[in-house]
Amino acid sequence: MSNQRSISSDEDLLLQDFSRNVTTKSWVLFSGNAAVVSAIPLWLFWRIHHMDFSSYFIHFIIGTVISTYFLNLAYQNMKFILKHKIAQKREDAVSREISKIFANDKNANKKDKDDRILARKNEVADFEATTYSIFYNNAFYLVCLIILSFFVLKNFSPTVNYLFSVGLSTAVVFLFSTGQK
Amino acid sequence: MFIKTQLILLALISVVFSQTDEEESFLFVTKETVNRFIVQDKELTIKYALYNSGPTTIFNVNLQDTHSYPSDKYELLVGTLTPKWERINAGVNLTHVVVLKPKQSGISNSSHAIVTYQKSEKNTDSQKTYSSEIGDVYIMTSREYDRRFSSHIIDWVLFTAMASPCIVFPFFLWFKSKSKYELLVMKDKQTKKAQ
Repeated sequence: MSNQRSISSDEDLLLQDFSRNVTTKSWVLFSGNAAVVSAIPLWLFWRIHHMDFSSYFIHFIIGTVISTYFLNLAYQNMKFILKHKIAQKREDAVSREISKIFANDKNANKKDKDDRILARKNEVADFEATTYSIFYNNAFYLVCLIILSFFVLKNFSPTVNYLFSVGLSTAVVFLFSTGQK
Repeated sequence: MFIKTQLILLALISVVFSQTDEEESFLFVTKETVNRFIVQDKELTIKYALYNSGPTTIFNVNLQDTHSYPSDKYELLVGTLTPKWERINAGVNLTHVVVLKPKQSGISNSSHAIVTYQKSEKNTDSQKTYSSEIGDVYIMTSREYDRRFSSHIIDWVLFTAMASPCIVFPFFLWFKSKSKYELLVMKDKQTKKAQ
């Protein structure tokens, strides 16, 4: 009985590890970040392109919602790809860390130690992949947006400028996140 | 070919001489704007240049341009739109500058200025001439001008301040974890080497 339970918990761990689905906590973190990063450029468009909120309300809402959704997807894609790469890199370091903790504990068996190492490795890889994905996608999105809005589309009307710069930079960030292997 | 050019030359000379026989002056008036951009509620400078081309002095020169810049659409800041000069000697170039402020934006047409003058002191018949015209000009709104030309440094600084936490904070967290584990591996390798 206990064997079956431990097997299913192992399976769960593996499934979680290889699944693209993120936990609720992760999803909330990603959505929050995406919303904030999508909202910040609105300030630039208001102050520099003189697009007041009352007349461009609808454009802003549509643009923000679309970029939040696709940024969220981009974070998840990039995190999934990075997590495995980072897990492989950190295996050595994490096993040393756990070994040090278990060095004083004579009762621990090898299986417990391996489980601890795996769990800790996943935790570290998850954390690093999440933070790196957020950092990289945010930076990429904001740089793309600024270049498109203030250099490429500088002389177009504010509406065209906003919609195309948000749309294109969102598309570029999302496509880049799906493209990597 | 040679005879043709000679005939043309003769015709030109006769025209020139016939004109100078009358000993009358002609006044050429040009009107232009000195501004590169015309912006609503910002100064607009108009320059009138009058040139007396002929051999004689002209008298009682009056320039009239109030019809181009009605007071409901333009505010007069410096100068007058109806200047008068008692005489302009032969071969003299004169400029007159007016500074206005457009009250409205959009396309505006400013037509010719009308200049009247007398060819001699005794003869009171006035000759009318028209200046060159500027034609249709686009007066941009001050918002459009600000959008295109003001530097927005403060806006950029504030944007950088707002966007930095979104980028710097996740980077810092990732970097901290990464350096911790890399240091751990490096330290262990060093102790193993020492052994």
